[in-house]
Amino acid sequence: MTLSALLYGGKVDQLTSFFSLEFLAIFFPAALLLYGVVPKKCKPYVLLAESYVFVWLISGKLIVFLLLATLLIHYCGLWLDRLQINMRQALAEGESDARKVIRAHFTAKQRGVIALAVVLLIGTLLALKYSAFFAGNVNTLLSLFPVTLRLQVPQHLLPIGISFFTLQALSYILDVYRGTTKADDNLPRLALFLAFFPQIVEGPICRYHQTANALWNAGSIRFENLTQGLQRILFGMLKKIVIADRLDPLVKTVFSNHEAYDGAVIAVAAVCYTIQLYMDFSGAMDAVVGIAQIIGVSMPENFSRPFFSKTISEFWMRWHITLGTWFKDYVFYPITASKGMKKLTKRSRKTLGNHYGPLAAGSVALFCVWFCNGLWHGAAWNYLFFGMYHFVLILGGSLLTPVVRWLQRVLRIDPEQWWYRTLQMLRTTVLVIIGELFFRAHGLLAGLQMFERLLTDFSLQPLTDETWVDLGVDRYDLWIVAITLLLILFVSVYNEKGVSLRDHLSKKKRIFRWAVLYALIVYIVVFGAYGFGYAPVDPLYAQF
Amino acid sequence: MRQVSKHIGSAVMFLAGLLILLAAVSALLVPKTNAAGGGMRDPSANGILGEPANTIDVLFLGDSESYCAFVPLQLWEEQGITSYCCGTPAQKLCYAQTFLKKCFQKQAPKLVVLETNEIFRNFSAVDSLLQGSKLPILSLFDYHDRWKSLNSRDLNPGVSYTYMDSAKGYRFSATVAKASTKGYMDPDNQIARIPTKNYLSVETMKQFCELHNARLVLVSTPSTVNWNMKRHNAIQELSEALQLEFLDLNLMPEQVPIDWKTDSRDKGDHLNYFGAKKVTNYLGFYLAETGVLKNHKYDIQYKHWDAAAKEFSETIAKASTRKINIR
Repeated sequence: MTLSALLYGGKVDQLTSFFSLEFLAIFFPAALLLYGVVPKKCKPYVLLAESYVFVWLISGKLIVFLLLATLLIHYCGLWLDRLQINMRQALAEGESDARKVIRAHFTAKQRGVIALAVVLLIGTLLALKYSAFFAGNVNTLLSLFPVTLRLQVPQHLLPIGISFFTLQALSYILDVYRGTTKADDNLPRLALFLAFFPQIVEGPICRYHQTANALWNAGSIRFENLTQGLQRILFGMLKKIVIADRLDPLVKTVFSNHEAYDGAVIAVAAVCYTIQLYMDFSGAMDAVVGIAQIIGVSMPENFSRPFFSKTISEFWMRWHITLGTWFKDYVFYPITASKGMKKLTKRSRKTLGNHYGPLAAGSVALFCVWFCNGLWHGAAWNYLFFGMYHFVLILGGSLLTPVVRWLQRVLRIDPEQWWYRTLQMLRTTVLVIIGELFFRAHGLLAGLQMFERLLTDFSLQPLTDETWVDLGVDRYDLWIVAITLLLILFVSVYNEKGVSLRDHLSKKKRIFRWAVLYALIVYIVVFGAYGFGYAPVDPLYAQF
Repeated sequence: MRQVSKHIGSAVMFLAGLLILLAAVSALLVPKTNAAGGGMRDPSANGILGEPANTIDVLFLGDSESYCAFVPLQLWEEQGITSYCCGTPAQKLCYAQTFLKKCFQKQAPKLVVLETNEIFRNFSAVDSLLQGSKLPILSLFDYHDRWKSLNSRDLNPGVSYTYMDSAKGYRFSATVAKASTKGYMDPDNQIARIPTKNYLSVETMKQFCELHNARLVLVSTPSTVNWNMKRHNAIQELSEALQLEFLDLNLMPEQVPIDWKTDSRDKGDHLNYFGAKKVTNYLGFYLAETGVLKNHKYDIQYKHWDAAAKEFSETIAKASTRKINIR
């Protein structure tokens, strides 16, 4: 595999999809077989080699960015560790009145190391992913003035997963600085933590303590893990191939030619895109979790039935969970815990009270989180708008909480009643769909035009005539999507109640278990949107 | 150890059951006719399956360049040679091999003409697995979407290939889009790279043809967009190494006088009917001179070719009465 891989460096980008034949029929079985047959002490090295082969096949020479990020955090981590040991020694040996000076001296040095790592990691990401966006905007600004100066708009190729492994690298180095993680002197273990092949494409964004040791010490493949892992991959495949990819032609047609459609079609496309994105991304996460489960590693979950959320805040605790917690831990909390913000909270609490007081500092931190979140998704104004949209919704939700509680009291509404919760879920879903409309639109202007059409040019006629036939889907496609969504809803409702249907199934008789699995496999093979007549759809989050 | 054996046995049983199930579903979904209405992919190329046995003497293979350049019914009219074009859009060599094998199950062509543009098309192991395999179970992955058009006929697993393409695989177009000839076939000593597996595929096809008493001939049809001296040099080298006949019609302006102002349907990428006529006319003489092909023009068994040729002429006559779109 390794020799032929050399020839195909950067040419096998089909591997970014865990459900491509290249991955499912060639890379994954070969990687699993190799991992399974080597002695236990070699397994982590084989896993690392496979991960690098994977990145090499997709990104070719751009793998160098992953290697440099690994070396950077490894040595910066050790440097920080050395500084912390020296500080402890100096504090132990130093006199009590000198301790403050010693601490300040070493803290400044550590901050210097952190600054170096952060600047290099974020700088690389900015240079590769955002320089074209910044240069384009500067040129737009310059065009307003009578100057001929223009910046050259650079076009860089991005190594696969740079947005994901950069955040993982940052979390490691910041955790070492905070003392919550010990610096790892084992370079291959740290390298595997960053490069583990299923996770590098679309996450989840793991913390060092969550996966590094688990991956390094992953043992032999156990039959139970193999079957459970494969079942999870199969479930992901159902979401991706049967639903997400089947909706792709409709979404692509409407979003690329939105001027031709009225509000109803745009609304349908926005709903379909939201479903597509969820099924695509959560399907890929099922594959990642399933692959890791096969080797006995438990990966953090990235989704927890987000469309059961009653508020937007709750939605973001259930959707792309690892990104949300990353921003919470490394942006939100550091800002709210900073001296300036603490002072602001103290002051505003006195004037605004206990509910609105902390919101002043919180809103500053929240703004930073959503600015970064929007920008992380892509270098375009519609992504920034998407971030700001959610910032406004979450902040608005917090500001209105006392009013809503008052209204509930006055109108004698029990917020736990089923109809009230259902309304809340529907409201949240509608708000999410509007956000996704801007997220998917080809630029902010297109998003605004589409949204305007939703409000001003809405009629149900296109849904009753044959308009949708020209959107790349037929009634059979829509039936299959609807049936499969019901199936997934059924599983999700049980999961929400804390019942795992997979565990339930594993206790059934073999004939029943196999019948269910056979049915699922045949369903995917027959009703999947792949092969002749379908364009392969790249994983949606791999582009971020 | 006992536990491991139990698990292996269980996995084997599960997979065996799955294969049987998939084979059954495959039998249901695979097209039962070779026509587009029956769900067959590339029906014009697969029309060869409906031709009477042992009636095709020349088989054309290739990507879109082939079905835009070779006119089987003109060959019939001018030389009495029966031929069929199994070219398909963006055809890869693994798919060409499938057609080659499919064709020889019912026909016994004396000559196989491979249009050389597809020799530069990369294909993956997955392409080979799906497009190059004869395993019926894999057809399921090709034709899984036929569930939308299943009917009672599909419950009978037998197939009936009776559809015959009226143009014998050629795809007619009288559209004219003038091509630029800037840099076209300018001298160049460099050699384009042929992927190793493509080289091996051509070699395999040659061996297959030899085994079936047929000759493989390489032909480069005129194209200002796809063809150049680097590619010519590469195919020249390949043909010498494999001892194959090679005709580069791009370098034969006297025999094939393509006028790039009128003979392309899409600015030099593919030939239109006027260009194809010139290619086929020359190729007819070339094929006739090989001495291995019979003139079936007056053979009663081949009367249906006259009917097809008449229908084809009428199509062309209708098209030429319409205004030709010149871009």
